[in-house]
Amino acid sequence: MVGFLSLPRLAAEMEARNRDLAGIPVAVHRQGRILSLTAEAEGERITLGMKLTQARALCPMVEAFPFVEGRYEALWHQALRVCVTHVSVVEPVGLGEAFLDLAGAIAPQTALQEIAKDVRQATGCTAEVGAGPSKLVAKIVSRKAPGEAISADRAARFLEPLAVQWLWPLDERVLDHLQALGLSRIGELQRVPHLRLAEHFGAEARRIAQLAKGIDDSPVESLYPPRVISVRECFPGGLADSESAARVLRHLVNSLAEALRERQELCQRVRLRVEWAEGGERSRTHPLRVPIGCEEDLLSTFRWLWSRLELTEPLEALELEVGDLQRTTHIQLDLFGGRPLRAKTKERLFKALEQARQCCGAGSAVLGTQLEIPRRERMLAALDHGVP
Amino acid sequence: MSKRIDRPIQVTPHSDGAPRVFTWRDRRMAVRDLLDAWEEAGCWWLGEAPRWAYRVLAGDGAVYELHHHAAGEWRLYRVVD
Amino acid sequence: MSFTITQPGNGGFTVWWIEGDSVSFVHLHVHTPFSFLDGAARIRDLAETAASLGMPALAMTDHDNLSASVQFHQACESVGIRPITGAEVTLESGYHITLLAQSPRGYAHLCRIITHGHLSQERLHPATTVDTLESYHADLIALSGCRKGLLAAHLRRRQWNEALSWGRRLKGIFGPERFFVELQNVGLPGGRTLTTQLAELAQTLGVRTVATNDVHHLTREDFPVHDVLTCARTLTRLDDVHPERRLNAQCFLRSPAEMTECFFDCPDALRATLDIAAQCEPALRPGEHHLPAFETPTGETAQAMLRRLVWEGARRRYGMVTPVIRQRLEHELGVISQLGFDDYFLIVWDLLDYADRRGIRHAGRGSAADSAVAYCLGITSVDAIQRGLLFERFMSLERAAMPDIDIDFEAEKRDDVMHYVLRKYGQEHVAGVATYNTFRARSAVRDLGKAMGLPPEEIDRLARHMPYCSAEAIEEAFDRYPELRDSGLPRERYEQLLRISRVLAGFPRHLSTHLGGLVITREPLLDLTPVQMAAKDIPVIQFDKDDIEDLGMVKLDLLCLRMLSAVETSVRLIRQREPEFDYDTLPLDDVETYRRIAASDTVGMFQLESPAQKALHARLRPDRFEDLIASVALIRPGPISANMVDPYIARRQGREPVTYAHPALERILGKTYGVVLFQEQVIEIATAIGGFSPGEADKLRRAMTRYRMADELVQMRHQFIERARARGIGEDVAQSVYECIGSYAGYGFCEAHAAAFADTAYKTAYLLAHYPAEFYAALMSHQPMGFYPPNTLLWEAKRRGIEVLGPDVNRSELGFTVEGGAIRVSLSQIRGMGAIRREQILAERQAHGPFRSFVDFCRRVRPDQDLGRDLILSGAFDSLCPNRRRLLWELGRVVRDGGSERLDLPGDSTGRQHRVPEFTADEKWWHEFQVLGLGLRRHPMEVLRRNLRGRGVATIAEATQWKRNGSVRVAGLAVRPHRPPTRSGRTVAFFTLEDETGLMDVTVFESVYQRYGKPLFTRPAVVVTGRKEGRNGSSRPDSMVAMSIQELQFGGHAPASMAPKWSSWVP
Repeated sequence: MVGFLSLPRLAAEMEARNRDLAGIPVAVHRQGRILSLTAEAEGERITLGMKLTQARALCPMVEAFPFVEGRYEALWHQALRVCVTHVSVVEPVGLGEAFLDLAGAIAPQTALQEIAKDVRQATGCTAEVGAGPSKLVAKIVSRKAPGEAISADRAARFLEPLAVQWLWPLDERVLDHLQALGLSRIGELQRVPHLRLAEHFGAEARRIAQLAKGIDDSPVESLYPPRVISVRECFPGGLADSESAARVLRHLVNSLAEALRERQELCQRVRLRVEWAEGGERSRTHPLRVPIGCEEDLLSTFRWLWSRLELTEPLEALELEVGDLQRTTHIQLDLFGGRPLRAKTKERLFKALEQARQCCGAGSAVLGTQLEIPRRERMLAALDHGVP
Repeated sequence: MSKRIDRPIQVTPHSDGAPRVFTWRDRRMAVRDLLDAWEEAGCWWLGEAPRWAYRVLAGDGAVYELHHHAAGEWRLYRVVD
Repeated sequence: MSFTITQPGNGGFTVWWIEGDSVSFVHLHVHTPFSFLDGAARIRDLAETAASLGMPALAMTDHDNLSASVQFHQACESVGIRPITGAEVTLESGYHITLLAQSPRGYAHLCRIITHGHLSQERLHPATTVDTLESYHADLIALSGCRKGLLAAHLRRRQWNEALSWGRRLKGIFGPERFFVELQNVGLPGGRTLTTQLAELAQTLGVRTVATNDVHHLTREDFPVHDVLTCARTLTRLDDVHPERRLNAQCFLRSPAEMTECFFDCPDALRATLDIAAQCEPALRPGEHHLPAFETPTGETAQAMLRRLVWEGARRRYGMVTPVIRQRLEHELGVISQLGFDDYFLIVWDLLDYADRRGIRHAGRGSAADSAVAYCLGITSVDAIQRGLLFERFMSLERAAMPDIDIDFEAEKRDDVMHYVLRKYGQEHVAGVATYNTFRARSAVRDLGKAMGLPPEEIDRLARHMPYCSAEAIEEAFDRYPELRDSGLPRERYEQLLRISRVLAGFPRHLSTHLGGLVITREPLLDLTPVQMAAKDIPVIQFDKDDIEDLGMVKLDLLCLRMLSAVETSVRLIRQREPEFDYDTLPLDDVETYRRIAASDTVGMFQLESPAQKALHARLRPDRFEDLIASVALIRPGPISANMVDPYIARRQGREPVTYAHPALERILGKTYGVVLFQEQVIEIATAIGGFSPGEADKLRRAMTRYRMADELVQMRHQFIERARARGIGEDVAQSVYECIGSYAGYGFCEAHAAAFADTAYKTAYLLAHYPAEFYAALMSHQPMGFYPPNTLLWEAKRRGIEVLGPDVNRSELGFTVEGGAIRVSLSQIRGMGAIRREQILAERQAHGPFRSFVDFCRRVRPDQDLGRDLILSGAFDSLCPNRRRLLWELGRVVRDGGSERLDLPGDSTGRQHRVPEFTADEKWWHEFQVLGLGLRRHPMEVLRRNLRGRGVATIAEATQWKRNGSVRVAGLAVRPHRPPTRSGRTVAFFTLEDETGLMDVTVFESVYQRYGKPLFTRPAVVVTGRKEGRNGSSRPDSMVAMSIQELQFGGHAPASMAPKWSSWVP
């Protein structure tokens, strides 16, 4: 059984509370479009995705605030912390939404409702929950029948009357095609013989058919709580010149790299946070394509984040954080200093790798080209490779 | 076999900028021979400054790769036993 | 101080001096921007910097091309240093070698080597052989190359013997005096060792070393520009690693002092650069002409044959040859002969003769129409004598420039003519002309943005919002244009990108073909330029049209004009019901035609359909051919910025008296009511007032147009005023006359050109007035062309009461056709219908009769899934089975099985057939629009009409009826928004608003544009509030001035699943 928790009004409700605007329509917008609404704003027929100007035209007294990156994280994390007291596997999927693994729960519906209640109490925000045999169904239930838990045998029937657009894992192209074929309800889709579906969708047909019945094999992944390592430095006198800032950055990065080395871990998310005198603060988080751990790469990543902060004030504090940690127990041996290998040496190297694998297992020894090598070494190695 | 170190060190250079003497692990070592030298522009788009790299044969018979960063810092990048 | 005098052997001599302690130096390995996406230093900057550093000469060595030669030559000469022409040539093995030409003969050999490299390999990967070097080594100096030279590569791999062997080979080919081992000290790993080894090798070989710096950018600080270019070239990002990326910023134009420091232990390598430079004379000989030759079939001389053809043509054109005609023709023939251009005219005559025999429609354009000889030969259709056109505008003894004849052909048949020329004169003497794609704002943003690792969506947004401006103007564009400023894109993020884009403004990105341009020479082309293969299998020279003239070559332009193709198609369609119809003899005074033009009812007419033209016609009210010539010439930046339009119209209509600044101008400006409209008038005025000879006057006109001649212009202005005064003309008058022609001449039209265009314009107007169905069908068949998008043309036809029939598998042809007065949409209009497929359908239909059913079609044609679906949704099977949804269900199985007759429908497990509901009208319309790009049965605005009425928005037809200067609110598709340059220099935008009832031209002045202008260029449909335009006697009901513009939302009106995708709507 999979549960789904949604705080659909998180940003707006938080703004309303912080600014003491209870009972007043509040909206949060980004790039001119509405992203989050309080119930009062919804009552004024403002909808998500609507243009701000249109919303104001509909409801001139709506209080609108721009979405601020990082502002709502703390509240959301509070909600997630509540979840982990109830279940062991929590998969956040963006701000205000998370899947919960309810496997083993005797009364999933009760469990869900308790989670919702506790989250509401802890955050003061509207919380909607739903449960089903798969992620697909759980999310739909939280919207269509909040608080309910639909069992596997009822899933297909539950989905039947709904429009095919409710099948959220399908992409727009597929939905358009289904519409063109005259299939507007999931029930109609359920009744199409597989062969007919395959004629139009090929290999995708099987997945479409399964989704129509509420079957979705993707598991809930344990992504919360995240473990992080962070380092911080304060500057009582204020840090204003870029040279010193560069030095401090390097120093902090060294510490992080050292910490990662000791724990034999790599990170796949970095965060840089600055504070300045009047209590202002700003942070940028960046997910990485591949996990990193060496100083070189950390430094270049943090430098890049730094350049995007657009700082104008002297700093009071600088904090660097790495998260999404993964253990690694490899040691990198640089045997050849980047020099090109002769055929005989290559042969001996491969023999050695083979023996290591036989001794210690298939993944125990890996060629250096398959590991992250610092950029400057790759540059040097590539030099003269352009020569035919 | 070589090992990547990348730690700051003290270096006394020649007048042309190449390293003459450096201190590593509390040992002062004279540079016996300059094997190679090159310049790297680095990741200029991230604000990185250029550096000069020197591969030297030191008094203890090992080969060291020393980097001189534009800001003045010297670092020992690599040791080849 | 000491001197050395050398005499390279061609009679010239060179003096080099060595001052005191400092040794001068010459850079012999230098890349210009014509090492595409590799050279980051401008030619002019390189020359100026070299000169300022005291270098007596400079070499250029681009990768496998000599495209920079002319500009390089000019830049060096202008700063007083000697240009050395060379190239970095790629060998078969991929290695490089640097070659420098010692003389024009060496240059010709270099051209042959480079050509061999290009033509013997696949396109874009030139590589030549050592044997070729051996065949053409004379008068070339060879340097062993950079790290990518074979010598250096062998040594890096510790292959001493192989290096020695290769060195010996090169020495054997070039000799010890002309082969040098190249040393570079550019701070790369292993560089010091390599330099030592190369020096040793040189000593062993008994040849000298030479120091170079592999210059790719001007200063150290320019390295980022070069690095970004490298990423753009290798399609990588800055963060990536690639073997082509340079490690450091050392490959810049070092000063002699810096080079001395780098090579303090090899002073001979430095001296060698001077010695080499002394041995190289400039390779190009400007001022020489290389004219083509025509082999006369009868054995007569070219001159005699030309004369014969001209007199024959004169008798045909004029009937009787009067003394005036005779005198003019003799004068022209005399000039042509004296300048040696007889062969050129015969070549042009011959290829047009071929075109006539093949039934290919053509029309001469440009200044050639100033020539009566051209008229008699049938090159142009404008009678220069009758119109009083000045021959000197086209050709004069003083200017003695190369003739340049441009001819328009039917678009599809132009290549046929080009191949004829290639076949007839042979590849040794004919080739196409190059053109260079340069970095402009959009391309700079895309390529460089990608290289700099900006997210693709942001790059796309930035590029789409960027106006078509030069890369230099990018930063300004951010300030000026609201669609960029208000796009939500943070400007600071793009500082780096904008800065680099500005530096790279105008840099060539790659060589492509100047479509239609041909050069023809008497001597072998390879004596003058390398040749390489471009797309379409046409060999092109490595110079563009500007360089050709400086090289003394002559060019011919065979252009495509889609309108000629449309005309040809119209004629063919018209002749289906009127076999006697003759386009070439249409009367030039048809009342109905002029009425339509004056009423601005000109959508589809050549040259006359743009909103600016429509506005002009409403005021000018043309009723004769001369008016059309004037209107073609008036709507151009020149007359607009010189404020000619208003006075012209006022005087033409008799509302203002016609005055002349000087009586001598009456003869010249009488036909244009005292207003300067034509370039020929500029020449005549310079002659009449300034006492210039016609040739000098033409030179003045040209100086006014080419920025390269700015200094000369100042001198000529002075001359003009002085001479005018000497002729008794007051200084004030002379000044004001000069200002008048000065502001105009830069942009104006040549009268001959205007007349040639007006001819076609009138005739298309005639076709539109009398055969609208055929003409619109023809226009639709040859899209893209013209001012308006296909959907607008379609609706214009419908508004004229012409029915439009959708595509039909049994009735549609390749192009649009006319069926009983209605236009039938073509098969080609269907998305995804490739050329092969549509021909297959037609062939199948022809061979085995019409298709009897959908299944029959699928069995015989075997379309794939996508094409089948698009055919169904376009309605192409409606005549066989009107239920399109049913056919869709059928499609899957039919495509898979090849089809049996049984229709298998959903929910069929019990064997019963279920009824499949048909698409609604809305759905059908939407599908048709997606597949055809045309809204056949409904205009997109019809969908919204009810809602718009509720908001007080009128239709365009209603608004057209309302009073002038009244307030209006209308909505529609924003067609062709554009921002032409204006007299005041402020931004004014124009666009045409289109709804289901008509078109309205909208003017948006700067303040409104800055505030509301964003949706115009980013959204397909807008609501416009404004007032009807009415000024200066204009009675145009269908134009307005905007006071505000809002985006029009489609959401909620179109079928829910069919919310339009914006990109497919933008016209």
